[in-house]
Amino acid sequence: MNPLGDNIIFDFVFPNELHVVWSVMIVLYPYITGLVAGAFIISSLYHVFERKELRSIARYSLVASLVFLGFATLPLLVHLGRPERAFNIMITPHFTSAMAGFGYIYLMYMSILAIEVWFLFRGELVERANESQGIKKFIYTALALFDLTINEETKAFDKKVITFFAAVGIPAACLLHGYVGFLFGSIKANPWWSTPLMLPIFILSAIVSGISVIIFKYFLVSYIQGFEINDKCLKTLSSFLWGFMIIDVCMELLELLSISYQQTGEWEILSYLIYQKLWIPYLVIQLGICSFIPFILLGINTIFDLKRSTARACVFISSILLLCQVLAMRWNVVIGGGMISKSMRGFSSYFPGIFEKEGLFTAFIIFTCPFIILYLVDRIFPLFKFKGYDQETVALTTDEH
Amino acid sequence: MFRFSYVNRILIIFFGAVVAGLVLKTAMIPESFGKYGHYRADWLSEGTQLPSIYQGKFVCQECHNEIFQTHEKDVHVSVECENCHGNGKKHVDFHKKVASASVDTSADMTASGGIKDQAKMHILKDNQTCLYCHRQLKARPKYFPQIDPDAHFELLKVKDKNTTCFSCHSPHEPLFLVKKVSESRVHPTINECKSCHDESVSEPRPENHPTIFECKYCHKGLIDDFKAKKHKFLNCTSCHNVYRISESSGYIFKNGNPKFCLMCHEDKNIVDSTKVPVIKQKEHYEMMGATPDMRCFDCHGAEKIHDISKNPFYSAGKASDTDKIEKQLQTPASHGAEIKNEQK
Repeated sequence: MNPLGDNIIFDFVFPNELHVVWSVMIVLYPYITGLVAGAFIISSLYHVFERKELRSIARYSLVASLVFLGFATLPLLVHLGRPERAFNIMITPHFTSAMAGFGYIYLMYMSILAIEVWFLFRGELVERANESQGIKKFIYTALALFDLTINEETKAFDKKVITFFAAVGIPAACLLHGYVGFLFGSIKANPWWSTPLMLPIFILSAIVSGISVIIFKYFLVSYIQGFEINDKCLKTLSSFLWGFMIIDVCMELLELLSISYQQTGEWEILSYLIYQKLWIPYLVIQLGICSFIPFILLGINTIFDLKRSTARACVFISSILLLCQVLAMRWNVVIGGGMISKSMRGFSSYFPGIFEKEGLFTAFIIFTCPFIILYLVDRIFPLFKFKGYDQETVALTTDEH
Repeated sequence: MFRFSYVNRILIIFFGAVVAGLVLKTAMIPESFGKYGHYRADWLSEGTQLPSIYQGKFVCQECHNEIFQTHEKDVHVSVECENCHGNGKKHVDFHKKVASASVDTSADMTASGGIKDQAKMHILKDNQTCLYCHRQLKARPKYFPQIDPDAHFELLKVKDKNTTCFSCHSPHEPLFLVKKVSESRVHPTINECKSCHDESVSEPRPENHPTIFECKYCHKGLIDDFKAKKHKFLNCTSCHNVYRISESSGYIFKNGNPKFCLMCHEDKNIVDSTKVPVIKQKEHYEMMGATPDMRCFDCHGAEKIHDISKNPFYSAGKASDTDKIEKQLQTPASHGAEIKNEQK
């Protein structure tokens, strides 16, 4: 049974619009893609813009970015009836297929990330190859491409390469997630999507969700593994998160102002969508609770010097709320747009089932997978407690508070 | 090339992957792709060679004639069997013993997922299947039967919201028609002012206005009587089903099948019996000494529904109202004449 009851239709809806086609899987796709772009920006802040205080999180961010990228298209494949045909758009691309373009941008970004991660781990691979024996030595040597040269010169070169790819990756990350925004923004038949502001909103929300997920996992891993959080790093992350969330939410409000001020023919249905159908997920959750509270908490944390425990609580709560904010934004965009009838005079409704193919359980499994992979990677190549981390953490944490 | 061999190697891997990807992409483009447009031209001929998956209702009739006949006489006549049951390819192949690639013959005969299991037809029993066509939508023509499920359950005093449509309605004969649709009596259907005018039109209508057929214009006495009886919350068309064939005419039925009344009044534990009187048909007929061919209306008509003698067209014996209406339809200024002309 539909949890919303059977009265799921409002006003004039064409009979072929009863089924909302873009499901929770399509909500998850831009969400995970956004986490990729946001996490990458953090690592680039360290590698390119030399924010040294982010060192303890930069490595984790970069790997998290690659892992999330590996799962970004999985919801799309689950959504398709014949997923094996998805690759046809890459074999015979057409300019009219926006998804084919996404496929190529996705591959390009994946290559940049993979190369950067390899250079980041090369030193450790060589070191492990030299220290290991037997099959382990062979595996590490193979992963190091059978060249175990390591000296100051190679280290300096590797650092330059990492900086280069981290710099190239920034526009690539923006392009990747801007493109996801473009996929929605270019659908001119849907007034809820068709706005050029969709591109910057998606990029900014991606950065917000990416920073939030890294903060959340920083807390989680530090709790599980029992190491101390670098407060200076946290404060910097918190400041960036505050800045980006302000621009992001302002852009979302500007979009709302723009469409409401224009009072186009579609405003009648959009106003009903905003004030009635999406009252809770959009106005209350996205723009209210999940934007306003983090804005206050992060603002206080950025402007004032709070006690360590208070500051941490502020940042932790804000990160969770902003993760929900961005998820709500994806939901409101995808599902909100899907509910509007092409008649512009009615709505259908959507709520995912729990155990159906594109249901909440599947979404949970897909969203959990990158976290499990990250856990496994961390077991093999410690992403936080890497060599030299402890000394630096102590140095950075003790000069504060 | 770079001084460090690992850089050269990773460059080789990267560009090797790019070249391999391009070669693979080129190799995988189907030969006939792009011949006529951005698609594989060979598909045009291949598509026509595919076996037909849907069988059509007359194939179903070969084995299921009884259900077919029931289905053919009722309003779902235009809904094909496979619309609800899914395609019948495997089912028909299995039962006709046709060697077919559609049935995996390597599987066990009776096991789950085995041949017999594969050959089973779907029976869609969830309400969403019915509501796909019958959910109340403003976009649907008003004459098409459609419900708001909650209001429908409320009207009929159904206790359990999980009650399926099939608990009362048979999908093969949803209205339990006694006659085939095509054999029923053509009758002017109920029209509204806005069928021709915009909504601002107001009564009274001019004298030379063509007749608009609403039940009360011809059957006022009967309707007044009906409004004083227990079933007054129903519409005329709840029991006198209308099957529209055009904007101004359609087939109309007097539903005399006891199964129709039992849709609401059968003791099935889904209806709140404190609000709706329910019976078990067999026991009730035995207790009242009724013969099986008797209709509910024969005993309960005048008391519970309406007194047929109040119909202005009623005359004892034959239903002469039909003749009188037919006569009225001959009047030049009426819509009936137009219907006749259309039908000619």
